[in-house]
Amino acid sequence: MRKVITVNLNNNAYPVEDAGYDALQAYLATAEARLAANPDSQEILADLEQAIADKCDTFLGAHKNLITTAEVEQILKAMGPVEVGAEPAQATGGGAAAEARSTPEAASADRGGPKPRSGPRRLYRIAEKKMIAGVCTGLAAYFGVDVVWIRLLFVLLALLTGGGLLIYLALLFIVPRAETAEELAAAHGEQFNAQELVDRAKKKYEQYRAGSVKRRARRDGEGRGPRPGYAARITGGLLLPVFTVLSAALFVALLLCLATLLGHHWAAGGGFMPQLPFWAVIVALFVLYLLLGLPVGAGRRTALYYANGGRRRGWAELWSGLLWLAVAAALLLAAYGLVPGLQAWLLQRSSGLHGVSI
Amino acid sequence: MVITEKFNPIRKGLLEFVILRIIDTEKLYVAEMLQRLAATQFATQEGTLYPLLSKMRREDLVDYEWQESESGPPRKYYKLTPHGRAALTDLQGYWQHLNDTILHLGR
Repeated sequence: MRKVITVNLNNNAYPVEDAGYDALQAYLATAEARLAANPDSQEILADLEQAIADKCDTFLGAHKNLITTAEVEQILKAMGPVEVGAEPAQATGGGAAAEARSTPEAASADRGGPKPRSGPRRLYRIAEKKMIAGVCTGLAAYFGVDVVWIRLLFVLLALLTGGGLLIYLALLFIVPRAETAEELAAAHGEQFNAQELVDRAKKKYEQYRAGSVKRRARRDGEGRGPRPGYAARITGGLLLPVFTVLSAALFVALLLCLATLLGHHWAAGGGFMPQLPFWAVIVALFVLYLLLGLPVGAGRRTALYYANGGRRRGWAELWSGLLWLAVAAALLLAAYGLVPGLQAWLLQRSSGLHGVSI
Repeated sequence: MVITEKFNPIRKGLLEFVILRIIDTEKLYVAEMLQRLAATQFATQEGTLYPLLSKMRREDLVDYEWQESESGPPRKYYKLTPHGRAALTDLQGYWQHLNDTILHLGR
């Protein structure tokens, strides 16, 4: 006796054996992950679900109201692995594919088709099956080991030495995310097939030819020139935390200077730097901050652009923002703990605040 | 078979051209396309065809319209756009050109 699960395929209900449900789930999850970057992913997924539903219908009849696991596997085998339209990561098709299709792996839809030959191997972060940012999945693909071991190593390092966290953070910034099928293939050390070259040539030809294509390219964010290469993205990732830390440190320095100046001003009753009016000192401080901050800010934005793979917006922005906040908070805490005068002054301020006039 | 494997990427790259060709004269839905291609060297599967058609639609080569079917839900019937028709003519010309080149090489 086996459990039966009712699945909703594009708004049709089908009773499926539970192992078959798992297989369906895995197939659609893989499809969704592969189509993550596709603007029409929802529509394609609905089409795929409908196609599966149509195939399910052929197995149902007046005296049969259940799809067995074997039938699900047969259906998924017939569907074939979902390949990203513009840049199929794996070569299947025609006569050879007809044989490859009958391998049992095709049912899991993960490693369908013949294994591509090996190509140049590069370290990327891989979004598919990631836990945090895809660092571990990328390392696992790079070294060809199961991701569990890499994760275990990081957790152990983090627990024992704290170094695991730092290494993870460093890799998060430095290692670019695999975004195209080509990069994903390189992350697994697989050779990318000729389709990519054909597509690229075709794309250039179309851009030259039709204005409508240009409009579409702009929407996809491809209109601003070529995507930065691997080295540029690595450099961006390397510099981004540096600029982020610098920017946070500058901000904290501004706060500390302000606090010190105000402290002196109030404590000495305006006696600090008597040759200059107090507002001029404050203005000078802000001008200095802007002078130092502008190049750092520009550097940070440029590093962000490259770390994001040639786009203004992206994940690097979030990571950089989080790092900025963490560094600023850590520095402020350190300053509060390390500078006894500041602590005393703040306490004194808060107790005597009502007596102060600026 | 070694030869079919050698030509895998080429057949793959030609799939778009082949699809433009089979919907040139009549509107087809995906199951029909798969059926027509099944007997040829260009046999393919839903997992490949749906993403490809979606890409071709974004490139304004094909479009679809919903049509009721006697059995089951309405279907998407794909057809060429004017841009797709022009692309097909270009591709056919280029394909002919490629063939001629190969035939005359080394002769």
